[in-house]
Amino acid sequence: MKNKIILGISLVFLIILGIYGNHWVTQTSTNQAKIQNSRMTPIIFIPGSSATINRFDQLFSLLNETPPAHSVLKVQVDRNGKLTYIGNINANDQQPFIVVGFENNDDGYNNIKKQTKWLTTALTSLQERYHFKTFSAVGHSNGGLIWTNYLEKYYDRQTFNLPTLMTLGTPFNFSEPSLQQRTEMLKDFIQASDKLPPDLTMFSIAGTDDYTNDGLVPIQSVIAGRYIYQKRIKAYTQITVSGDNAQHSNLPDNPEIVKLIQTNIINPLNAQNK
Amino acid sequence: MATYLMNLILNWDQKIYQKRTMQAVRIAMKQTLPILAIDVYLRLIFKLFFSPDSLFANVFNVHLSFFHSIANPTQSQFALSILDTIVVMVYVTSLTHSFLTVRNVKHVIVPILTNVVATYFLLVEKYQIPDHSTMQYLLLTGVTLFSSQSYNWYQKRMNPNVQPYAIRYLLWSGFIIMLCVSAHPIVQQSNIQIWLSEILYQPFFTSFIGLLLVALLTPILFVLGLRLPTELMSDQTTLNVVVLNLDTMLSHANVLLPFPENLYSTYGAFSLFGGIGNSLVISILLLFAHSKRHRQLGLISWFPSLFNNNQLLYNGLPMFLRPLILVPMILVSIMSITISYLTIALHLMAPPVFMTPVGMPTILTPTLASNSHLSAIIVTIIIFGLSILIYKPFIKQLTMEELNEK
Repeated sequence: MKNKIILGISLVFLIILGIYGNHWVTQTSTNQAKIQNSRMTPIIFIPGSSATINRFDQLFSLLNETPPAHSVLKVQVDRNGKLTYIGNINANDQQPFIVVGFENNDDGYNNIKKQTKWLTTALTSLQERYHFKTFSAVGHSNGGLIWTNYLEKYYDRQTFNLPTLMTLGTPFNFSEPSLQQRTEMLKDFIQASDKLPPDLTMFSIAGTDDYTNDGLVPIQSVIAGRYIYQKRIKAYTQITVSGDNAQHSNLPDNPEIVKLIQTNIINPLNAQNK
Repeated sequence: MATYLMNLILNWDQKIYQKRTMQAVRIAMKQTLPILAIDVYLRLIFKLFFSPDSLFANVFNVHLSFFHSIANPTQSQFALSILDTIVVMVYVTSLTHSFLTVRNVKHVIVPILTNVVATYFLLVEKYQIPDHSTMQYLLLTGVTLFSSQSYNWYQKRMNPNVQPYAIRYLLWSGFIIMLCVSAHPIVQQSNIQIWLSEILYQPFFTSFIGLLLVALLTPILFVLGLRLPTELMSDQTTLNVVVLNLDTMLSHANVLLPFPENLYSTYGAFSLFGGIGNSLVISILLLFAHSKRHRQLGLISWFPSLFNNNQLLYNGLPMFLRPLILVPMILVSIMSITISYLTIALHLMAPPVFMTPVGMPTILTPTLASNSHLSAIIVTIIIFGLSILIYKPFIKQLTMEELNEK
């Protein structure tokens, strides 16, 4: 009798679980279908330390001089991981610009780890709202470090597809001018580089103000990125821009870099959508 | 003919388990059962309520701040890993003790401590303590028995007046530990689990012959006590063909799938009710067994089995190297895969293709993952019913065998 009661209760439990489970499967597959069929391929920007979500405004104005215009959405992540959305994405815009910024935008390796977690939260939320799978990424300064940490620790190829990453003046070895002196962060990045997606194309842009640094980041620190990415991903390209607009903080607005973003990020994604 | 075959299997089973060594294994497995039950139930509670992707949170869409305030997931996971290690160590201790006491060895503390330390060093992985879910009974039993037998042999050749902690015994202990430390890289590198996992990604396993091969080999490897890849234990949704099917279904809802018959739609959905070989059926049959011990085993294994964990049955019956379990398990696997393959191939049922929540009872997988709910339910009921019919005479013999022993 006791056994029959247990089996009866289990059957009722299975039916309830089945009903709720069916709801979960329907909801999840609908969501997955939207993501799968989505033609939106945003470009997601992360500013460097101390910079705000408005860091790329000038760059966006320059890029939008060439049609089609791209809508701009800014996402601010506070210290508790709460998201604030500013701006919106036009219904027919397949290639919006999205900036993810952090309330805690301090420098340092520990902070980069925290910011990477917040980035993951923001990406999940963005995918739930806009149902995209493919996106390209741009990171200025420490923004490139956050992307690198994200790719090594959190990126899931089942969930997202990131074909191109561009970093601008990213200090892979912080302010260390010598490649012989590797910081803890660089060592960690090199050690986990086998986790990088093998189909990624990466552009690392360095600026030189006086042939040794861009006024803030030593060029050797930017070049250290090759120890992380080279031979681990599909293609790794190191580009150096020089001249008056090559200072660290001016890099996003440098005309050469605007062209590089247009040619290597916007146009390939456009072609993919067509 | 059927009676002849049954007697043959029974004789085979008795021959294996009447050996003194296997009696020690049986005793060790049964003695491990209480700590294993605590481990299995705590894991089940963690999986249902506390883990980051817990079934309860996913399915009922409940926020887990309350549960997380009780137990931090990372700390809980660590505590469960330690409990897993304790299970392994209790098994090794009990096996060494049973093996040596039957052979009239009086001082068993040194060999027990040696085996505990040696197996720990043999199984420990980089930054990971050995856990019960990845346990390899064949390796563990083999190493423990080899070590115990060598102690028995060594001790018989010593002067009986030599005290148990004499330097010669400590040297033996050091030798066994060093042997296991040296074998550690070989054990870790020659990992059958990774090799099998890679093989299962081949398109061959979407053919009927390939799937029959899985149906035949999986129960054999399981009963042999080998560590199996997750693709054979629980999750086949990472296989290329399964991902391709899902992608096709999500992109073009009404199009024919490229690989309708695959490891997930046949093996994963229809032959893992409660674990390998539809072992949920064994729990049900045990609930109505003649002996009280088996009814109790059926009772404690029921809920874990419902959620696809048959570890309690594995130790409680035991299933390890057991022909009386292996034969029906193979028959059930072959029957489940054949029926599901045919119903999919003949378009009587839409193949299971969607992902289900992590930890969901596998018996619900066909219904939830297929587009044709009704036919999936009917096929599930038919396979479940036939599994009961196949297992029933074997479980009856198994329980009778123990009653007769008493």
